[in-house]
Amino acid sequence: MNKSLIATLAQHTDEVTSIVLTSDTNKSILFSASLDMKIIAWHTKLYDALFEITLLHPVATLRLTKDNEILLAIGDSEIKQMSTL
Amino acid sequence: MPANEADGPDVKIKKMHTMGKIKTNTDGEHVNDQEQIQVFKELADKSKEIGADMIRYSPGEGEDMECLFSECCDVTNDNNLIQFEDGKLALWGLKSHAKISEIDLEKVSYVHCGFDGKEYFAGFEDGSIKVFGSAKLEDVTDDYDLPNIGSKITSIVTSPDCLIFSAESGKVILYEYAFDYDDESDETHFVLHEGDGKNAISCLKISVAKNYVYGLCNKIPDDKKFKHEVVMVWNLTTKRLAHKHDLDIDQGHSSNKYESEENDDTDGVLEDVSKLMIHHTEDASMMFIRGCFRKGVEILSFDDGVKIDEMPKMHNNSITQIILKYDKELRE
Repeated sequence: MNKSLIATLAQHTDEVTSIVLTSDTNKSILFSASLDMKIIAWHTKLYDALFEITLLHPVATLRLTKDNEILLAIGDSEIKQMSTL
Repeated sequence: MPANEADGPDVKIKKMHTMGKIKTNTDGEHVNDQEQIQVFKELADKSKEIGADMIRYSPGEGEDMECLFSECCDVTNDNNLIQFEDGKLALWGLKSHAKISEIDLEKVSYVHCGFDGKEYFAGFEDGSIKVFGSAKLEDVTDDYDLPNIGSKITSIVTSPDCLIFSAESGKVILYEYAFDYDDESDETHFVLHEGDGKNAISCLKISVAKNYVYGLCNKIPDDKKFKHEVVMVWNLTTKRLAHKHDLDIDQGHSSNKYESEENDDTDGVLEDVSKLMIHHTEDASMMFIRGCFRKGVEILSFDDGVKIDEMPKMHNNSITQIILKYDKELRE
């Protein structure tokens, strides 16, 4: 098993609470959520930040729909629904 | 709780990716292929639409805003959202943006979306379980002959063949759909773990090959200090405990959302233990748990609990979630 460090994704400014990975291998994207109220989408080969979304509340958990088309951000008092592609 | 409110987008999007940027790996080879560039160009373009669709759950005036936990909602097979909060089980249409159905439930202790997303299972404080269809939340409990074990349900998992649930008493029960319990004199289920009446099992998960189920045992010593957390693994073929292993949990932090009020002295989000122990989706023989003083990951064999490998000091702070990315190219 290859255990070398591939990348360190250091863009959040507070505790990371949830990460999800799309299951489509051709369009694999990593989403991370944090108490800093941001969701960041990451390239899973280059590990660059693709874009970030700033919300009004911290996010506790991320969920993807089974078709990977909608990302749900579950946070304090509300759930936001976003299109991933 | 009002239905969806079209408040408009309240998110800001900051585009980070620079198209056409060429990066090299450690060997100096270009790693940006044209296909990937096209995919992420589409993503960057479409990302402008993010935030246009929103479902807002607003509590009434004077009501407390309760933090939603991951266990409280899930996506069904039809890509609708099923949500449990404040004694209400609600089904939302993610495409219609409307509430499809809602039912009131009292003294629910656990909710679980079935393995295929077609049914929803609610466990109650009295030890009973009710089953609802995820299309309209119709009660289909009578399709099952589920036992009541007389103790608060703490966790439920399902597979195509069986339903497994745990109770506050520490019992873990296996209910196989195909087994004809009517032909047995007394049995309506198999007891995977008898329990000792004081150490509850929670956070049950089932391995990808459906041959193991594992869960967390909240070991509370007699002096009620320094709660000890143990991962327990049961073999579903032999119907016996396969092994158990210590799990690094911050002392005093609760893994159980229902205990959150008792441990309300922590900042941020309580640790979600279900994010700290996972199985390999491609290699069914391995499970990954947080270890190495909470800053690394241990890889264990499902069969006998032997430590296959470990990755210590992965992080400077405590790890809060482990996921696996299966890289076919690296594997080959």
